[in-house]
Amino acid sequence: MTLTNKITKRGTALAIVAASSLLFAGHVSAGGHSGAPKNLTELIAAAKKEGQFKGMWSSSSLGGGKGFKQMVAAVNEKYGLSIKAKFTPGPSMTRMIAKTTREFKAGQPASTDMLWNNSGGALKGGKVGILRKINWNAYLERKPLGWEGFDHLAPGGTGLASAGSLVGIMYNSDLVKGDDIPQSIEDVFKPKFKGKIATTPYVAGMREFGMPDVLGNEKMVEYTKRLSKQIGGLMRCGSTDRITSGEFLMLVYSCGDQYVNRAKNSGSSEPLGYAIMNEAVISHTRYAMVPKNSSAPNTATLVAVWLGSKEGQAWMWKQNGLDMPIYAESQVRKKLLAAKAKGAKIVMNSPQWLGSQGGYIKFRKKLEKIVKAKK
Amino acid sequence: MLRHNSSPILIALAAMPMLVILVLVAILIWLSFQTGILGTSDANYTLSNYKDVFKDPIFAQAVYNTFIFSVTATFVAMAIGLPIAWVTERTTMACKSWVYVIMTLGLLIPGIYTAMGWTFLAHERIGFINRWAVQIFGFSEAPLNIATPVGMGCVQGMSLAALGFILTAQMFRSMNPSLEEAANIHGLGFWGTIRRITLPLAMPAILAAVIYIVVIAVATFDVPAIIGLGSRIYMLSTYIYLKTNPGDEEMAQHGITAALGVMMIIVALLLTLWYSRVLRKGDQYGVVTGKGYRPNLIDIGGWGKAAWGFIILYMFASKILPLLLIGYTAFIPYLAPPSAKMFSLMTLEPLLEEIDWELVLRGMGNTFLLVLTVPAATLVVAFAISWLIIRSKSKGRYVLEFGAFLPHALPEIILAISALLLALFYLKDIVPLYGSVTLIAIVYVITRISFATRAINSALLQIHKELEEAAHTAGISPVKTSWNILVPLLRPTLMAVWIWSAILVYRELTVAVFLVGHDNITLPAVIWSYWQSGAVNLAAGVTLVMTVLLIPLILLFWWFGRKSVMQSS
Repeated sequence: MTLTNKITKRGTALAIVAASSLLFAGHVSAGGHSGAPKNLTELIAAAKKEGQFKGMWSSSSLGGGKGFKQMVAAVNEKYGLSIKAKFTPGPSMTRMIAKTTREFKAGQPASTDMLWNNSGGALKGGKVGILRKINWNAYLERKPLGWEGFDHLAPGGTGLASAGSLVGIMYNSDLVKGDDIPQSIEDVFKPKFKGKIATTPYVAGMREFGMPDVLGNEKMVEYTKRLSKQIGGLMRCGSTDRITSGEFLMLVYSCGDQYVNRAKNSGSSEPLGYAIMNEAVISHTRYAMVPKNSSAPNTATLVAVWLGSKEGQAWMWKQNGLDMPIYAESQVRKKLLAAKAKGAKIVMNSPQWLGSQGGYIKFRKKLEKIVKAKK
Repeated sequence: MLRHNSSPILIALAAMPMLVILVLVAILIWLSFQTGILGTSDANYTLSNYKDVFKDPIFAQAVYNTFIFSVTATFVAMAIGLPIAWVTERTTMACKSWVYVIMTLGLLIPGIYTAMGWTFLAHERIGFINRWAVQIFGFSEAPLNIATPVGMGCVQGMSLAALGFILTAQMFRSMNPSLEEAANIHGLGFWGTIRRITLPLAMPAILAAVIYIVVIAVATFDVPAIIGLGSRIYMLSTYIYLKTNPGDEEMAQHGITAALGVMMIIVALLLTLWYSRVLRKGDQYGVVTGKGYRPNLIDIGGWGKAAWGFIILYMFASKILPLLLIGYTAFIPYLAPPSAKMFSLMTLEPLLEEIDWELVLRGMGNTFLLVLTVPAATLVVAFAISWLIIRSKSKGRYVLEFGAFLPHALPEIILAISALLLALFYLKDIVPLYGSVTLIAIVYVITRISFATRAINSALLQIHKELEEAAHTAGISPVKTSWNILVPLLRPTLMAVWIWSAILVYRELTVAVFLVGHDNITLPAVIWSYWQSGAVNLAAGVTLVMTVLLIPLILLFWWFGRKSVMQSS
């Protein structure tokens, strides 16, 4: 890279910083972590001092180690930094919340400087008090378009909504075709599917379908009991190999359509298809959050801010098959708007929504118990 | 006091791991009475963990399944391993040094791939055997279903057959043939000699191997997780996994895991008492002495070819098939049963572009560090423990015996959780072990002690005390006696323990998964992370690299092992 290029890049970075600071000057609210950088310029300077960014989450999230390096390289390039990336694959989102909580309570530094988790994780992380409250609006480069009734921040600024994907059924497109592709939640009960379909041990989809705003607890408990007799086993959302290999014809329900989108984006010939249910279209939201015991909180905040940028969202869609429907260019937004135009019920999952439904955790545990017991 | 001439060095070496085991078990018992965030001020003290275990209907199902699974696995392991050990060590079968290569090489293959290989072979929907059977014989449904406790037991048994072989081969090698020869002279015949002489002589080692394999099968995780968990066939190990990996947003139920661990200690106590009874009769099996150690081989003539046929069949089913599947999976873009279409899609891209090689190198560095240090430390402390158990007359030896067996009876998950919480909450201001390779090394040494002491115990039983008594009479210290007399005689066993420990450390997964951090991730943990996140082809790619890397090491170990055998003969 020539000196001129370096100067140009740095100049671009400073221009972005200045523009975004001006853009959001009026949106900065009181609060946030004491002594936290006041704007993006200060955040970049603070991140520069930290030097290293550690990440730990499942290899199937955000492209794993390869995705992590791409992400940090893009942040370095955009903000003129030279942060070193260190990624180690970790357990599921659930266990990362538990692991970080344990480390926080023990007074140890967090294994991950940034937590990448779903609405349930954001709800739990906020409740146990392990997340930094951050004044995100002071750092964001652009104002999200938003979605009715959806806040792009987790309660108290403990997380920034960074991606969404749609709950539905993932199926083997070589083995399930035409009229056999489910359109309604009842379509999975065809006798020919008995013992050949799977669900997740953490009842993805059903826990949201069962909320009072959607189909209700009672209906979903009865549904889950019937489904438990229909399934042949349990699998995780990311284990697409169990669908492509034909071990299971379909996963009822997947955490989102990102695996199928990602395959299509990369031109893969994997026999994967995806169906959204007529009953409701649920957008499953992922949050970028910073643990209180993060060793590089400013870098983590900056990375989360980058994920919300145009470049970050484009990278997210191309590499991971998901993006955040509160931004204009979002592919998930287009799908949601199309479904809305057809009169479908749209649900934007968030910790606020889960918290408002009442008894979410208890209900989810009830469903989990049903699917784990073999009939 | 253990014995008047017990060296303080040996006692200290034996006491160190005992102290660690004691602390880990104490932590376990303490945690079993806690709920909430364990080890913190948010924890509550209660008996509910024990009540919850017994109230859970899945627990009863898991106990039943585990019983069927472990009995099947042990039967299959011994049915394969024992005859191969006998034919290798006691007969004139040709090319038998290759048997060691075959039996140890198979250990390189992680259990997840043996399970995957057999899923492709005998799964009721995607298994080739089932597909062919339906096509050729017109069955209305698949004749085989591997997702049953018996099916999984057979797969696990094939993996454990190598252990059955190792645990019994050294006993057959050291067995004095004079009793068998005498039986032949008196016209007892081949099968009569086997039944009335060979098997009774071998019984302590066989029983030890059976007890050891049963306990491994009870705690085994790979096969039940890959084949059973998805089909809702729960074993104790997968039940514990479910409790430590509960659903969304739930904190891990370590208290329940600890309660299960405490119950397993009771099982360990019973097994140890049984094993002690076997050991107490040990003197009557002391057939190798300093005066007459000349093992003769039985001429089996043409049966040698049949024996090799059996070994090759076993090798194909348990080693070659999973290895072929690893090779196939590493080069396909997504997982699907082998077909012309999939072969046409084969590519180097996953291996070259998708794998995070920085991570693989980090894992490799940590793994090799563990392979170099853990077996050496294990051998030193295990020798001290075994010597005190076998040669001491003190009642304190039963404590050592129980302590050495305990880690084997406890699932590694439980020891790992104890060690994790100890390092996380209590040692942080004394020794910063959390997230370090040292923490993994300590747990590995503890978990390997049982195997090492079992093997050394069996070998020490075969060496009569008169050599050491002569040395003692000559005024030579116990440490010098051990070094100059016992170590040379035990060299084959020590080498076998070394090789086995190194290989198990190399492929060990369970402990690593629970203790893993940025600076101590191991190669198997890298593979597991790819596997569980659905990147099966990347997991296969790293496994392939891991397997290829270890082959020279295995051959080196094998060469040293054979050299030692020749020297000590």
